[in-house]
Amino acid sequence: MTTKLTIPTRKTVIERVKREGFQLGAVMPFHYSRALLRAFDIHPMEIWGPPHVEPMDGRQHFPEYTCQVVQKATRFLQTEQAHDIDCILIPHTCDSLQGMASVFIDFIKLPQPVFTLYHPRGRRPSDLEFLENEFRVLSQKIADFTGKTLSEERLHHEIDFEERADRLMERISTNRGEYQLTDREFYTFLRSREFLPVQDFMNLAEELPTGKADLKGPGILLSGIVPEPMDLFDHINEFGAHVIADDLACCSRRIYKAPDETDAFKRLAKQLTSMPPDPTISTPYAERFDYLIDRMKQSSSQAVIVFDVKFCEPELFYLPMFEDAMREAGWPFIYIENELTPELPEQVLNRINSFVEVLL
Amino acid sequence: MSFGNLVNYYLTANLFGYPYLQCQKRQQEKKYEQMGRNNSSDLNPPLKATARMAELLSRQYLKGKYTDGVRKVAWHSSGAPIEILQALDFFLYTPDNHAALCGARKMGVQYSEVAENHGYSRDICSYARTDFGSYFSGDTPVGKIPRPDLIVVSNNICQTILHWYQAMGAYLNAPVFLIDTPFLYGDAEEHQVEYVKKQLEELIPVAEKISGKTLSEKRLKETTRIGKECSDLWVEVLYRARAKPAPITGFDAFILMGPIVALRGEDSTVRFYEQVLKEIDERVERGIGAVKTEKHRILWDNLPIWYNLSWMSKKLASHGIAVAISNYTYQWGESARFMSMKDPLDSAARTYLHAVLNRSAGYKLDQMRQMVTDFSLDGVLLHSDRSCKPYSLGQMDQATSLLTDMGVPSLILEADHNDSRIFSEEQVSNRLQAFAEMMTA
Repeated sequence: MTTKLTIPTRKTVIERVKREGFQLGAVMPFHYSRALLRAFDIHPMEIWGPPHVEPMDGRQHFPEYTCQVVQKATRFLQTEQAHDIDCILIPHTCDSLQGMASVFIDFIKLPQPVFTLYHPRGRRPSDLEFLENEFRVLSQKIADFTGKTLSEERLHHEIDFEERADRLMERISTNRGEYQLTDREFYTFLRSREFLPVQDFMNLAEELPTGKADLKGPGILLSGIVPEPMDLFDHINEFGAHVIADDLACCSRRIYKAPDETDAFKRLAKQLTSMPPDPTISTPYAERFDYLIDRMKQSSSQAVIVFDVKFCEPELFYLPMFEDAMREAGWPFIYIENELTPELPEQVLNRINSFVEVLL
Repeated sequence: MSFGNLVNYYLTANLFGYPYLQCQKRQQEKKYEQMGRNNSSDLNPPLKATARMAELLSRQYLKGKYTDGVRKVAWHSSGAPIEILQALDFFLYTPDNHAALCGARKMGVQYSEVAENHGYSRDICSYARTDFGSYFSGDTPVGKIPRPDLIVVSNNICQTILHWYQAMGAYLNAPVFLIDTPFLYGDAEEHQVEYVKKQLEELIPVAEKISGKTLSEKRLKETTRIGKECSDLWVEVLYRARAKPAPITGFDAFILMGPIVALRGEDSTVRFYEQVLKEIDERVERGIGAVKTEKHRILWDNLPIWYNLSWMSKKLASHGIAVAISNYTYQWGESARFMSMKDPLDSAARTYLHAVLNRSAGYKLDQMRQMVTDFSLDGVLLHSDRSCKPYSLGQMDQATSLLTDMGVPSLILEADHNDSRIFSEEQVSNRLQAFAEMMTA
């Protein structure tokens, strides 16, 4: 497959940001503020696995019923490849990431500091106030680590950038058919925000080849945490369908709104509580399904594939009602679990193939 | 509230039900006495108070059966602050307790299968699956579960519980109020305490509106006082097992903990634990241990394996192993030190924020170390519970630290608190034997 986009590798980005004087922050999934880190000259680099890493060492710390995101990241963070990392941020996304942060802080004790961020599960005034204070506390901890004083002006500046990037993400995500890219290319671009500096991401967005996309077969909404391995997209295309919209934790679930707020920390709190419905923040069930039904209609999706990492409890709890809501609305639905394997197992491919055949 | 419902409630739950349950209790006590006289087991009979506990909980479930239309019903998670709800006279029901009870009656799998047939994965918590299955099948061992007017859930024991309770709220069309408790990786920070306190303040008007009553400060202080008294008594009960031989085991505590989870803040619970304490003191005075020949004393980490309580306690006793303490049962007493009548909301915020399951793996290890010393323990059994990640993630490092720092051997036993399908008696039996040998060596 020829790629029409030139996206630098993570390694290239790390070398460049280090040269530019940034420190490197490894960030686990998935709601956090890139702007806050950037305001301290820390470049955020997200870790969603990675799939190529063997989880052997991760298993020395966690039982086998812990998801592979945690297992593999635990292994990865202890390898030589992680030596460039200056600090680690583990948002409180679920019980597994909570456990991971705790084990890193109390037992593994890497030389790099581990910061945590608790994301409130409600949307009441008290939740917003807490998150604002949580950001203030985190900011102080980062200031202590870097020895730098936070400039509120710089923070606003970085938030401005992130908001612009969010608007770009939103526009591009909701207009999949206007970009002449394969699904894999399209999502490789969207996911490049996991490691690219925000300005690079926006520049790349401007370079996307526009024009009517060559999308074959029925359009599918892809839900789940992370589409790894990425050849998932190739296989969906190969079987005769395409991904027209997503509800992925690594992509559209992180398109935040742009609140009007003069205080930088209040602004961060409002922004980081404005994401679309998401199981990890315990969105009420009905609210999430109403949102997804709207997404299905707006994107003219014809079916749903939920592609999840095994043992992801937040996702699993929503699954039965999610399936009911979609089927009631007349949309075929399939749930697929995978363990962040480098390649999709044959059994998974057969299931996707059969599902797409029914749609054709 | 209809007059008919009211009459039915008082007649059935009090006038007829109470004497019936008393009668059952006396029969059970006699059974325990007979067990004491004619007992070839490695274990001494359970405390007589166990029969009283069954009566207390059965009475609560009986009331629940007839409470619709008489009292407003609040469902709450086992770690949720209930003092406000009690002060507003809600009838309280704890789904976690119900799930545990189903597990202990070996009904966890049958309900889980119903939930799985409704699309729930085997990888979610088996308590949740048990309660979902009970709901879908319309079946429960307690007769009837009262419908909630309000659901109060606190995620100080896990995030799972929030998904579980929200799902029940969605199925039953009941409002869900969350007390969100940020996880404590270290000591609590003031903004975390303030946050929980604010939510408690926000709960009051919501609960008042639903209950149709106004919260009395005096009554709130009273429920707080009683709750603290219950919790303090509970800690005393557990700490009596420092005696050698241990007068009760962790398995007794798993059973006796019912009222502290579901009925703390009630005078009857205070009286119950006073009775338990008295009976334990008699045992200590007479040198009676729960395990007849106590050779080794261990700590049980994590939830019990409900469906195999009896088997497990007998199996351990056959090796002369007494589970002197469990950090799971201790959590309903540990943070009671924060409870205070002076400022019930601030103290409740601190109490519920400091629940042990809301604290780091390192904190849990420190607590285990303290228990190893306080209870003169020879080993630690860590139940790696597939259904409880907050407890189980960290156990591998805890086990390593216990051995390295204190020379205390441990056994990590993989199971599930309610789902018996992954439990192999033969395999566990072999591992327990090896563990006993390790402690003897």
